[in-house]
Amino acid sequence: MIEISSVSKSFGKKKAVDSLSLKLEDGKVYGLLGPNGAGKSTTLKMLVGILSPDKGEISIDRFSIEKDPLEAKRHLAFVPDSPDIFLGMKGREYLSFLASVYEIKPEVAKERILRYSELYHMKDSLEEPLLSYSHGMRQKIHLIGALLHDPKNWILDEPMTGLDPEATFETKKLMKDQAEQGKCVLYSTHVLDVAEKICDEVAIIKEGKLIFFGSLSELQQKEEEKNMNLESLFLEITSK
Amino acid sequence: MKFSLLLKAVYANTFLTKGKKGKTKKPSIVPSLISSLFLTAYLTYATVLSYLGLKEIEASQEMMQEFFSYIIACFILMYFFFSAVFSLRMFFGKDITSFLPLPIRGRELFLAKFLLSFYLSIGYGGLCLLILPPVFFGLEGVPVLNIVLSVFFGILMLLAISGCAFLLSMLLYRLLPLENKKGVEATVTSVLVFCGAVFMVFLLLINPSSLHSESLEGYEEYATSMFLMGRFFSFFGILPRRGFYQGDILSLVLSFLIPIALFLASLFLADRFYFTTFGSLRGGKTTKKISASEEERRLTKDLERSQNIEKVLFRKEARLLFSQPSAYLPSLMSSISMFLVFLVLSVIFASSSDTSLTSSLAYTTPVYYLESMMVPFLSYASVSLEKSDHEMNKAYPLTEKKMLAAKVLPSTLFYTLLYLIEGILLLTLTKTSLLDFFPLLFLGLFSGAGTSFFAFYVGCKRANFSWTSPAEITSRGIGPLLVFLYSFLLPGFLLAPYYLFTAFLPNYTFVGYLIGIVPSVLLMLLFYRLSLKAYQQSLSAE
Repeated sequence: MIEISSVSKSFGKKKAVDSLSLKLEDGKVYGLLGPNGAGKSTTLKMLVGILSPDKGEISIDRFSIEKDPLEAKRHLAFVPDSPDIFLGMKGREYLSFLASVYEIKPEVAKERILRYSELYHMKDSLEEPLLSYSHGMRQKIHLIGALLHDPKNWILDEPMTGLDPEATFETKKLMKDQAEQGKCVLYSTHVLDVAEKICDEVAIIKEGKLIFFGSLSELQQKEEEKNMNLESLFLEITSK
Repeated sequence: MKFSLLLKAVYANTFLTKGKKGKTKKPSIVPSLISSLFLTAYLTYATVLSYLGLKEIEASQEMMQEFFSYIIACFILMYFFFSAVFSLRMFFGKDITSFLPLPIRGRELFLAKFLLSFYLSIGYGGLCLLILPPVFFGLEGVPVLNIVLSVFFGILMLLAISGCAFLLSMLLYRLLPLENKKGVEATVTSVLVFCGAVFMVFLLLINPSSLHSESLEGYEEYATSMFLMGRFFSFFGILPRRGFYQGDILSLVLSFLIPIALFLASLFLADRFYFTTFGSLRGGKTTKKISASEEERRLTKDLERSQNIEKVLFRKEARLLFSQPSAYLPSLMSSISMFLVFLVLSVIFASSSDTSLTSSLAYTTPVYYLESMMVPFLSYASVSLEKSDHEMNKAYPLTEKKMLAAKVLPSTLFYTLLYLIEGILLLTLTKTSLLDFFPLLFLGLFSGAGTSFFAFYVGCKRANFSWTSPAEITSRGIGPLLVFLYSFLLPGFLLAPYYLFTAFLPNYTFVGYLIGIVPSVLLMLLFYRLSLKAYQQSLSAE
């Protein structure tokens, strides 16, 4: 469960996130939507402890990310928007590193690494350095890494970028599966067709402010357009 | 095709970097001027002092000539390495995607790149080559015409060397089994640093003021060892020397013709090899296939070892550092070169009659000094290399203390190892008791750790800088040079209390231990606190 209470964040004079409050419950997939520069990545980075909020409180499974960062971080996994990190390590080394960071037992970690690398067709690439991976392969290895400790909260920043159709399908399925297992999944995206299919609820932000939070049917009711899809509704609501 | 446009395209492709607000950023000329002037001033100073020293001992004419040819050869060698570094920079631009598909002749591209690298090489190392021959020959009383000829010869030689360096860089790229272009550039840069360090120490040795020797015999001993080194490098100096000193016209003509021939040959070969070299690089690196069971075995082993987070972090940092040769090679090669110089000094020292610890310190102090300056740059690089990892580290449940320890440990361990070996060697050669040597040993170890923390602190304050090559420094402005100079002063500050102590208290006592060890421990703790704070700040910076 993720709770965001009146969180604000500014970069110089620009207010990236403005008094944002959200309560994300377990067992659901949430989509974080918004135009470019709306504050999606900033919000996600504050959730995982990369950025500190100027104001407000964030808690992950009731652990404050500011006051109890280590415990809060143990309850989440983050897939960043740019997969160009830890490029000097081999796939196997990177995953072992994460297994150690999240204190996963070797036999459990091994089983998960083999399972997910099989799923994403990455098993043959684990011996190669991340530097030699394509963008999509790097994305996949970070997705595998994020699943290793079976996180209660899965936070993903545009996870489908660069993935092949099969990997995209598997990722969507995994997100649904995680929610069905009672976990909270939050991901930012620009692909509204996918968001419409897999998200239980969406949060739409514009210029750092929350302009809608709820299910698709609630959005349709709000806009009094029962037959419109998420894409049309999104365009309508963000153009106001 | 207009050649000037090609020149502009090569320049933009190789040197212009992305600045603020999408504007292009030109490399600054100031660092190259400063480094060139510094080098020239230093070499002139060392040469004049050495010359005066030779005069003082009434060295033979032959010895003088040997000395000059050695000096010229050394400068040419230095220039060659500068030139090779810049050529590599030119060669490893974005050529594969930008120029390869265009209908440009290899010769034209070569010339454009060559002219730019020549310009930069002159900026860095060429000035001293043009200024110093007149200084030597002027001192020696060589006629003015010969001095003018020597400058002309120098310019021709520079052209030829640049051409050769360019070809060499092409061959290196083709032959060396390195993963990325930075590896090759770093290797050559490291060789440059290596040779530069050895060269400077030898110049220090022949500097009469640094000899600490009252007798002329001692001086001759060192001058001879220097000449042995000089003969090794003096290929380029032989012909002009004969021409200038012995009036051998053939040698003089050959000394002009050889550079021109080398340059033309490199131009010819460029046309033949330039694109074929690139063409063969497009296949990419193939990795050795291993069996599924072997993969699983390695994974199991990795996971079993990953139970200790400190060890895992250390391995991660070591992997990060050593996967990028540009980060560690300059530091590593410099340290090893210092170690080798230490060995040479120790052997010379062991063969001399004076075998007290104090005099051995006089000889080895510069080595310790330079070594303690070089090694901690590994921890400096460990911050700079993080880049986007730095941000992601914050999303993991790890404390800053653990991350800091993992980053500083590789350089500290490496330094400790070198220092201990040197200590054992020194002890064996001087036959000093271990107890007498302890203060120096501890002082060195704590100083090394302290300097590693300090380098890390500087790295946090000025992240994303790597001193991979002079070209890198050019593209990033003067700040890094200041950082380097600042770090240069620190080991001196750390070593000062100990040497003060040895000056006032010749016998090694308990007080000696205190004076030797306590300040270095305190400084190490201070730098630890500073670096931890700086790292925490850099983690919270946005």
